Amino acid sequence: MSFNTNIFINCPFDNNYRPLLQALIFITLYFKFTPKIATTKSSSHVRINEIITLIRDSKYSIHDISRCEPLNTGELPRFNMPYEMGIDIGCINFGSAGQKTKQTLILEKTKNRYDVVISDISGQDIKEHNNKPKKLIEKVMDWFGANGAVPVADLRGISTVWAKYQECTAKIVITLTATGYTKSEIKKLPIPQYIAAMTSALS
Amino acid sequence: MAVKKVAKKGVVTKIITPAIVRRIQKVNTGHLVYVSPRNNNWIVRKDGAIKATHVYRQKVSAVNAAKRMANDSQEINQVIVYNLQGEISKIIK
Repeated sequence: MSFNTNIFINCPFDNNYRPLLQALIFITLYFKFTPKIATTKSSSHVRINEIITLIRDSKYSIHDISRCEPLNTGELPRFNMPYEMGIDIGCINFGSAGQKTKQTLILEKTKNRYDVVISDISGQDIKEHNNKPKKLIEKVMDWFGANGAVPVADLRGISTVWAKYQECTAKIVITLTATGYTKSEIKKLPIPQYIAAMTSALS
Repeated sequence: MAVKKVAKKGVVTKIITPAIVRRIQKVNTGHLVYVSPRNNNWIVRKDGAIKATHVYRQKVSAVNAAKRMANDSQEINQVIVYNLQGEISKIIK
């Protein structure tokens, strides 16, 4: 049963991406899905095996390949996201009948940037978020509506959802500040804890 | 001394306990007013509303208007200011 409500989120975890990841977590929880992120798993296991399990157990997956670039000048780009996306697409193509029902959303920073980075996916419908959390939420909602993950009647306008997001983040920050968290601790809240906080803010 | 510091540093790791989860659920947002960017402007919005009550070109004007709103209202007592990334940049009580 959980297969149908699990969403595998394949994205970077650096501080610059953090606002986008938080928006991504919010929008999955808002529509009663369960975000499955590699960091929520135990570090005692082989990471890629954990990721494969998460992919196999999730009907939906969101791949953000907007950070296929070096973090700093002179560094090499990171290819974890395209690698995991490749596993997921392979799973859809070569997997069992159940796995073939999987739905995938690929997110990029700007339109057609992926043509330069991974031209093999040019035929696919890739959405751009321009590094803006509000736009990312809008694109994910469009995708939910388009693939039937969320009935159209249950979808809301971006202004309504964005207002709810602001309300939830306010609830989290106010509570955590009152319980002794500093601004930087709130910003660097571990992902599983952020999911727990957002779940309770939405309830 | 150094060992103490390290030990103290280790304690800093905080965990969101069930008690904190319950506190998050119970937060009443009715006393909040939000200042956030929208379409190159800054809007002031009351809790539960989608439409902006005021729209300003400058962030400082929006913050001042929200502060005035909080001063004039008996219910509103906190101004939540967001940055362009949708994160809370300031809470004004």
